[in-house]
Amino acid sequence: MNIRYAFRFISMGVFFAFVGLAIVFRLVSLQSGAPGERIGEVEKYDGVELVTLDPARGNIYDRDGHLLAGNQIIYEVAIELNAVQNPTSIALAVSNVLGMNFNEVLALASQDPEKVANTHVLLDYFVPYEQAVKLQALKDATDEAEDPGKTADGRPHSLRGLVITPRYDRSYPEGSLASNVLGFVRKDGISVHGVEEGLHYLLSGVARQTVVSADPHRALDLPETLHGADLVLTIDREIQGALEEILDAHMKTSGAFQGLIVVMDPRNGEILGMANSPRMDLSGEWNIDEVFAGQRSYNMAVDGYEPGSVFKIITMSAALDSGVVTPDTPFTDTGALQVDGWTIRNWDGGAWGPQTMTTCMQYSLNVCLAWVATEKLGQTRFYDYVRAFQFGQPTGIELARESSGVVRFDNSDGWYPIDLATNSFGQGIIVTPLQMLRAVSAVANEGRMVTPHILKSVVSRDRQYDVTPQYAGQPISAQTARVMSDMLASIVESESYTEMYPGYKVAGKTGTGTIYDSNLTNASFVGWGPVDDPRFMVYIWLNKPTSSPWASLVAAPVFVDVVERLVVLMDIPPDEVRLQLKAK
Amino acid sequence: MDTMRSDQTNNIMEKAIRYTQAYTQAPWRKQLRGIGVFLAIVLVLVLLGSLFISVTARTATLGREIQRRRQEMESLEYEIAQMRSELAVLTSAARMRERAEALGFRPVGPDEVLYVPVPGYAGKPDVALATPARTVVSTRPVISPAFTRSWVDWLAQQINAPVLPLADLP
Repeated sequence: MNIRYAFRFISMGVFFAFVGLAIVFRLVSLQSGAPGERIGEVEKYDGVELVTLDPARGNIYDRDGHLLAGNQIIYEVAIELNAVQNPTSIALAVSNVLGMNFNEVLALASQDPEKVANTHVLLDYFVPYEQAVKLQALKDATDEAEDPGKTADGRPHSLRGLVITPRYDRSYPEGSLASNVLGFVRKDGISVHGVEEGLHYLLSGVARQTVVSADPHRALDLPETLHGADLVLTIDREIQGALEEILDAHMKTSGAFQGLIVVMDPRNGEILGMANSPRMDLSGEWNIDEVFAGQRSYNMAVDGYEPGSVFKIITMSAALDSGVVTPDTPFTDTGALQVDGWTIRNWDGGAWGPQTMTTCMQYSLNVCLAWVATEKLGQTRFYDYVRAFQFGQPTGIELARESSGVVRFDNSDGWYPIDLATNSFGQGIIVTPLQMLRAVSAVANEGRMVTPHILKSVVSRDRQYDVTPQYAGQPISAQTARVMSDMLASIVESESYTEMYPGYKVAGKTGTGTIYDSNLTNASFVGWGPVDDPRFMVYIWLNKPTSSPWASLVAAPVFVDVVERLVVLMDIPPDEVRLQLKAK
Repeated sequence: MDTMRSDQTNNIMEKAIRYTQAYTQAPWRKQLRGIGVFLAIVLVLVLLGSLFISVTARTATLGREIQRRRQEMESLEYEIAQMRSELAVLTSAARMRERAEALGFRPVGPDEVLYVPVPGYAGKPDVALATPARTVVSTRPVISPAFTRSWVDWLAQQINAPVLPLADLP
């Protein structure tokens, strides 16, 4: 070989040798240094880890975007025995911050990981945010300190092995407000009652465990966490609060066992407020069994009962719509009507003499309405209207455990002719307040029934989907609805309890249903206003009032108070002002 | 005769050897060329390896960054949920009522309200927590084309692009 090329060969040889050595040096440094330790940790788990995708439960808002149910952080504190370096440090920290017994924690942290079935030892599943933050700060300070000090046994302080994992827990910032509408999520994650249970499938998101590679090249393999959808309810927080305040006051004065006020927009079926008594404060510690001991239901709006005379609206609407009576049709009340061997009597047992259909409704005469149903309408037409008003069918509202009520139709087993008479004034038939609202909305809304609903929109994956109001059919004509509205408005005008709200024309009807095998009653009221342009429809149900059994004395005053607050909260001017503004 | 024939043969052989020597590379040249080709291949392999390691290292770094950001995002989601809850407690109906009453406010009665017509006011709008589902979403790509197209695409675009903007054409 020519000597002049030797230098080139040697130079290249040195160069490649240098490159080779550099590669080897880097390999050794990676393997033995800090990166090597981390790679080793990954290798320990065969390069994969089990990841739990913890979806946040969807928030629930009122119609103005106020949070009614949300999430807060709660922490799980555990010990990973494989990583523990100083059990005493862990026991000291946990006992100081969480108030747990030092010796018990020390015993748990000192276990030999080789001799236990599960090296992940759970200490507390519900550690509040503040305590967890304190514990995490202590852990960070100890792990990062150059000289963390030593425990009595001479070992350096270390909180390695103490694992603080966040997770979501349900929170209810409004306390007891609308608690009967919302329902709640138990500590074990089970949703119970209300929207929480009824729309659990939307709220819950998709929780799953998946094996994820620790390889950074596959970082995008981790599937996206599918959080629950947020819900916007039709409930108005201000109206809800006012209803609960009014209901609580009347529960005291009436001595009722349970109470309900529902306010619906009769134009579209949106539930604006739904107050129940009793209620639970969902923001604190509670025990449903104590709060609802002996109570009939968590939310009376979806519970069935014999509504009493409010059902007369349905009977009279059917009779007017089928043309068998008019508001002025005469009827002579003798105080008793014989049907199938049974005697129907009025609420006071008296005979009210010559009446018209309007006064029959005004004085709520059972004998008159039973005569209308049995003598004028007949069973086929009466039950056809009951079907058209959709009694016996749930409204489909987004609340859990809605009752469908019980209606014995004329072709059902166990139906007797007396059922026709008693059904005409709301006895012997089980309906829910929401079914009554749906049916009576036809009277307030030109003959068209609306479907009560409480879900306004769903927010999922950054898109807001509005719920379209549904009409539930037209059981009566617009003309019948107007006549019936005027009839009920004149009844309210003639009653003494209307003196409280001058300037607003409202329609309504009381209902006192007797409770089987008891001297107590169910007092109800359904009313709406303004009659010419209905903006609200109110349903009141007081279960077992003790101050008086009559709805006109215990339920009607609730309606007066509700209307006084509603017209302000809903910006509804008195009729005269409203018509003037409309004319302009 | 035999001697003459043998000389001719030798001449021919010598010529052949001379020609062969004249047109054949020296052994050391062959050796040098072989080594050169081998080193060139090694050099190419080293360059390719370096390139691969460099790209892989950058990908791994970015992968780690994604994993870190994802953890950070998860942590922030928890924080947001907690803070949203705390804010809701502070602005709850009961708290607001307390604060209003402390400031001397009270609920207004129906007879105390003065109604004033406001032209164009259609009442409280519905709450919007997200984009309405029916809104048309812009189809403009979020990622710049520089990060998605190949250099061939870029070249084709440059070739096909007008020399002057259309507006500047005479």
